[in-house]
Parts: sequence; structure tokens; C-alpha cells
Amino acid sequence: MRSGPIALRAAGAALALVLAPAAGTALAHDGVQATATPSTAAPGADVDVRVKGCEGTTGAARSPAFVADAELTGRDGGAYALFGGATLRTGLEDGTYRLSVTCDGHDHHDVGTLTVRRHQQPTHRPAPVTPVAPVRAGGGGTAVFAAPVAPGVAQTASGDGLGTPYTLLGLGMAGAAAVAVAFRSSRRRRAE
Amino acid sequence: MAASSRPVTGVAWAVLLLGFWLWGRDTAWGPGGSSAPTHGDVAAVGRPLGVDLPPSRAPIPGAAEPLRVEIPALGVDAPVVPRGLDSTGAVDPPPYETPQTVGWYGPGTTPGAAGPALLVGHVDTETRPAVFYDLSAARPGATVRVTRTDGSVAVFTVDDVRVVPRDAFDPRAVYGSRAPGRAELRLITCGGTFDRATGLYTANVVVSAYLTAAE
Repeated sequence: MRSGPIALRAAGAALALVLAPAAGTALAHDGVQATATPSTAAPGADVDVRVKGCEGTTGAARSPAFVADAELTGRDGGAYALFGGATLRTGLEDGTYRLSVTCDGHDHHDVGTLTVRRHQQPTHRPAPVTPVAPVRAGGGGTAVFAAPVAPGVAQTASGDGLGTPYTLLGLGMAGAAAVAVAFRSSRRRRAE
Repeated sequence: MAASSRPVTGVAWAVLLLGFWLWGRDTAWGPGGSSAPTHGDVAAVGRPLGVDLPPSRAPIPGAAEPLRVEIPALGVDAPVVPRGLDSTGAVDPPPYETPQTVGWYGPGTTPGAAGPALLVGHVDTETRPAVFYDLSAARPGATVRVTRTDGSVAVFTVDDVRVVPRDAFDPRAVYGSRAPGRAELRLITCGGTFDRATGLYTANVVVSAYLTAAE
């Protein structure tokens, strides 16, 4: 067999081996992984950072979302995680931000992510999943002093019926008519 | 009796009777007789006094979503769009920019399926009446037709109209099923008085209906 094709194949394999780590998963570089808690936070919030895979007792976690690097500390040995905290910048856009870690004298890029979302619901008050409140379905444009609860019927705050002005009108008309009838009757008696 | 005094006497009697009628109407006619919904506690308007309501029909199979709603007695004929909840946990009506559109609570029951389907529309915008302006004039026996995406039409009959104050709001009565297994419909808008300080109406008008036919 010719040596040329073998050499080409070997070179190709070597190239693949060299490139593979760089093309590997973004989240686990040399076994280092970083997680932020909470993984979704609002701008300005504090997050805890936990890093696995570092051998030493110190390190730092960086992110474009952090105000400053998170100082990491922990116990010695690869089996133990390093811990730290960071504050998110205010004015961050919603989105996913990468975490990078420096430990054991090396930079480990893109070993974790965190998501920024503004206007979050507090976790102790979950959003209702069924309707529980009265609807807000009116701008008040047709309301005068009191909104008509039936079309064309003006309602006063005191209750049903035509209202006080009509009550007074009715009383007045009845009174005037009674006076007129009495007056006419008395005039007739005197005239006879 | 002199001839000239008869017309005057007649007019005087007419005025007297009219006056008593106007005065008495205000005191004698309570919620049972008034044609308008009243304030205060939950008031059932127009409870059928001997109005025969048709039997309910079994729910329509399938979960086709609503496209249009018509209430012939009120002149309502409007498109329906799916909506969710607002930040207070109420069904969110369509935006004020589309005041003649009716919202349907999408995660809930579809009209024609068993359970309460919820339709919400504005009574007015900041300047003019909106799609559900006349909703409080609905009466038991009126029909509501909902056309669905599968071409079927669910026909409902109104059996209850009530005004529910915001501060005495029972969500189970308004949003929940009234008879198990029945296909039901709620049409909800704002009512009561408008509080300019808060920008909110003080009550909800809730029209309840149940499935009586399918086309």
C-alpha cells in the first residue's frame, strides 16, 4: 500500500483529535462545570455560583452579566465544589449569558450559563392558573356620574326606581292637583 | 256641577293619579319588578317568573375553538380571540384598540364542550361604547350563538343575569360550572358605577347560558 493515503488519513485523524476538544461541549471544559442559582434572575439580583471540577480551593467565576467576578472558595480536591456569589448588573437585556471560570491556573470558558429575565414573579407567589378575579373590561367612556347598568336607564347611587327628582315631581303634581280639586269644590259650594 | 268645571276636574284627577303613580313607582317597585340590575349585593335580574327554558343539550364533541359570537337580541355579532389571564388573575379582555372583539379564555373550556366557557368583552372604552355595552340588557330565554373553527354552531340559552360587585366577587360562582357535565357559557363585562379615582368599574355583569342546540 502506498504511504501517501495512509499519511493523509493519519494527518486527518490527528487533526480531528486536536480539534475535538475545542469543538466539544460548551458546558464542560476539562470537566469543569458552573451553575448559577437561581438560573433565571432579574437584573440587579444576587446569584450563587457553584463550580464543579476544579482541583484547588480557590477560583473565580466571570460573566458579562456580573458586576464583578465571583470569588470562589471551597475544599481541596476535585470531588468538592467551589462556591461564590455574584451580583447581576442592572440594565441587562433579557437573554442567556455565559459563565467562565478560572481555577487551577487555567481559564475555562463557557462552562455554564445563566438567563436574565426582567419583571419576574416572586417564587413564593406563583401566578394563578385559573381565573380568580373580576375582569377589567371598561374604560368608563359611557359613565356619567353613575354608569348606567342597563342601557338607557340612568341609575342614582341610592338604588332602583326613577330617582329623587321624579319622586319630588310626583309628590308635587299630586299635591297641586289635590289643592286644585279642593279649591274648585269649595268655590262650587259657595257659588250654589 | 257647572259645565266649565268638568274638564278642569278631569285634568286635576289625571294629574293627581299621574303624580301618585310617579311617586309610588319609586317606593313600590323593588328588584323583582324593576327591569334594571341593581347595586349592592348580588341581584338576580329578570329571574324567570314562569319563563320556560328549553332542556339542555349534550356537549358537542371535539374541542374546536370559537370564531364568532352572536347575541341576536342585543345586536351583538363579533369575532372571538383567545386570551389569557391578566396580572390580577382575571380573564384579560382584548385590548382597547380592538373594542368590538370578544375574548375567550383559551386555557379553559371551549364553547360547546362540557364546563363553563368564558367570554369577556369591554363595556366601553375611555370614549365610546364597546362590544358588550348592551350585555346587561340580556334576559333569560335569549339565545347566544357561537360559531366554532370546525364549522359547528353552539347555540346557548341565557338562564341568569347578575351584577357581581368587585368587592364581593365569588370566582367559583362566576367562573365555575353551575351544573356538572353541562356545556355552559359565561359572558362577562364591567358594570356598576365607574370609579374615576381607580379607573375601574365597581362590578362585573355576568350573563350565564347553557347549551341547548348545535348546528
